[in-house]
Formats: sequence, structure tokens, C-alpha cells
Amino acid sequence: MKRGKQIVIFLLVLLFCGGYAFWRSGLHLSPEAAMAAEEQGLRYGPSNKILLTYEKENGSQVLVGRWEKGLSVVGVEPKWGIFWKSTDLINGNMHCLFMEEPVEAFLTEENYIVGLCELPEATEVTCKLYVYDEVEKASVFVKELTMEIGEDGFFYGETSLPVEASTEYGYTVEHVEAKGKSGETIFIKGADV
Amino acid sequence: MREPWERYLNDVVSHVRFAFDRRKIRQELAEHMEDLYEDLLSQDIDEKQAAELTVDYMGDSEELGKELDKAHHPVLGYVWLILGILCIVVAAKTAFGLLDTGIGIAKGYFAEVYPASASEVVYTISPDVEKQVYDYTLYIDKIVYYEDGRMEVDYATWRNPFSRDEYWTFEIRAFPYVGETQCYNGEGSYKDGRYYGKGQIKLRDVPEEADRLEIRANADLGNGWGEPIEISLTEGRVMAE
Repeated sequence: MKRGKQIVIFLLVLLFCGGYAFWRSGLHLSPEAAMAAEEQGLRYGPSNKILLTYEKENGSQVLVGRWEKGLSVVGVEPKWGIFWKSTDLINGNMHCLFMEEPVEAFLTEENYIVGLCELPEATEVTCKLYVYDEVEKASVFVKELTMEIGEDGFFYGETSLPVEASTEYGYTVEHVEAKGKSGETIFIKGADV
Repeated sequence: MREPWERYLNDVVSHVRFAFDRRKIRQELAEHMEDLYEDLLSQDIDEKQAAELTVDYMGDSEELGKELDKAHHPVLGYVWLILGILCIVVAAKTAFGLLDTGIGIAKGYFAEVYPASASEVVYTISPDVEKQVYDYTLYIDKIVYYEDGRMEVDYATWRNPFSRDEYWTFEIRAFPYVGETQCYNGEGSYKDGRYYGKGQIKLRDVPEEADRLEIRANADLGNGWGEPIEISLTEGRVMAE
């Protein structure tokens, strides 16, 4: 067989094997595709709209998406310059925010508060963060953050939080209050109600 | 007698720049010269003269060498060589990967599921239930109820080996009911088997009057599971003899 023909056959074999390896590798051509693969692996979604993307110090990204029943937060990282792969999350439950109430919010691992408000008349949301303190043996208030409600009812805010040994259980959003244009409370739930 | 031949062949292949082809070219030329030599001998030409004529008939060594160099171009040669090596390595890796997948599937398929109790069987139900949950298909194969109140739910899952979704374990829980009253806190089961795997849920203290079983996903973050599977524990019973 001519060398040229053999080269074509080699290329076809490499294409097939390379394609198979890529298919099985968990690599994707975009951050959104990597996110969808993670979501479907966890058996929800996938998100039909990305509402927020932020970068972490190590170059990976965190995508916040809107899916049928709430919000989804998935970390993705670049691989070899052109591919993307979902990163391992410490707590799988941090992926999903279910809309059990008209306003819901939670804190991501990178200290972003993200949430959804399904009340069209609400214009801003105040969230209060608490943390379980081993010394106090109780949840203690840490800080509050007020955020504007944007398109699609999505709101978010970045916050810095102290890391202390007695609070290693992590911070949680335990109070949510939505207000209207005139500052009136439209919805409230949580620790200070 | 062969010395002139060796000199001739060395001279020819010295003009072929792609060194990896030189041995093969040399061998082919040597065979051709051998045929030519035998042919001359058969015409009653003596050996010495036949050997000299053979070299003459082959033509100018430099000219032949350059022609062969064109036909065995080094660029094409090195591309062929590198792609060939890559092909062997990659094809072997792919073949092992496919074999590993096949072995994994076979292991899951032939895995044994042992009875959940040593006591007598009261009844068995083969519900023949199948449910699709994203890239998993869940099969509820058999429900066995024992005299000591234990109940086993044998199931299997099949995950599409070509799925691009990330792999997360698939766990289910079973809840027996008497009417609308849940009579057991529910038991879960984890099974291994990335593609095809068999699992068993073992329940204890299930009352004999339990009339249905609900199968729900454990740790299903997004409720992709949908509604729980409901299986009647009174219909389709095969009582033990």
C-alpha cells in the first residue's frame, strides 16, 4: 500500500481514537457545556440561562445558572487552553438552590450571595449571614448585605467573611427580606422574623 | 564475487535520505539482483561474468539512488513513521479502554445478589418496572418478603457508557406503606458498577400487611427523578410453597 494511503488511514484511526478519548474524558468545548454535564450528572437541569460568571484566583470560573426549579452553581476550569471541565465541589449540595419560597438565597464557596426573587414588585433584597460558633454553641449573626434585584429576579453580592477556628461549619443565609420601591417589606423569612 | 554487489548496494542506499527505508530498499534490490544473476546463469554465462553483468544491468548507482530517494521522500517518511507509532499507542490505549468498559459491564451483569435473610420466603414479586432518570435506567427486578419481616428489593441500573454527563453515584431508597401510613423509615442502598450494576435494599420489620412500596431517589439534588415509583405488594405475588 502506498505511503500516502497509509498516512490517511493512520489519521483516520487517530481521529477516531482521539474523538473517543475526548468523548470519555469529561472535557468540553465551552464552560456552559461543562456545567450542563455536571448538572445532568447530578440529575437536574440543565440551566437554560447563565446569570453570573465570576473567576477564582486559580483561573477557574464559577457559573450561576437558572434552571427550571431554581439556581445552579457549578465550578469549571480550563484545560489545555481550549477545553473545559467541571471542578470537584466540596459539598455537592451547594450546587442547587430550590425555589421553595418566592425569595431564596444562599452563599457560594467563594462568598458570593446568589438568589432569586419571584416577586415582580420587589426591587431589593437584604440577606443576613449567620455562622455556627463552637464557642457560643449557637448560630451568631455576622453581617447583612442588601442587593438590587436584576433581570429575571436574580440578585447577587460579593462579601468578605472572617475565617475563625470556632466557625469552621461555614456561613449560611438565614434571613431574607425583599422590599419594594418605597422600601416596604414584601417578603420576609428567617432568623429575625 | 559478492563484494561488487555489496559496494553497489551501499552506494545506492547512501542516496536515500530516509534512513528507516534503507534496509528494505537494500533487501529488495538484492533480491532483484539475485533473480537477474540466476537468469544470466541459466543462459550458460559463467558466474564471474554473470555477477559483473548483473551490476551493469542495474544501472548507475547514483542515478538509481536519487530515484529511490524521490520515491521515499524523508518528509513523507517521517510523517508516516511518527503517525504510525502514535497510531499504535493510541489504538492500543483505546482498545484497552473499551476492553475495560466491557469487563466492567460484564462484572456488573454477572455480580451475585444474595438473599437478605436466612428465614423462609413468604412471597416474591417480579414487578418488571423500568424508569429512566437522565442517563440512568433503573430496573426493579424482584421483591422478596421473608417470614422474619425482612424484605429485599433487588434492582439494577444501567448507565449509558457514551454519556457525556459527569458520573455521580445513583442511590435509591425504599419505603413500605400500610395504606397511607409509612411503616418504615426507609432503607437505602449503594451499589457499585459505573455502567451496569446490581444492588439490593434490605428492609427490616416490614409488617405482613404492608400493601405498597415507594421507591425514591436518595440525594437527588434536583428532583430529576420526578415522582416516586409505586409498587403494589399485594398484586403479582407468588407465594412460596
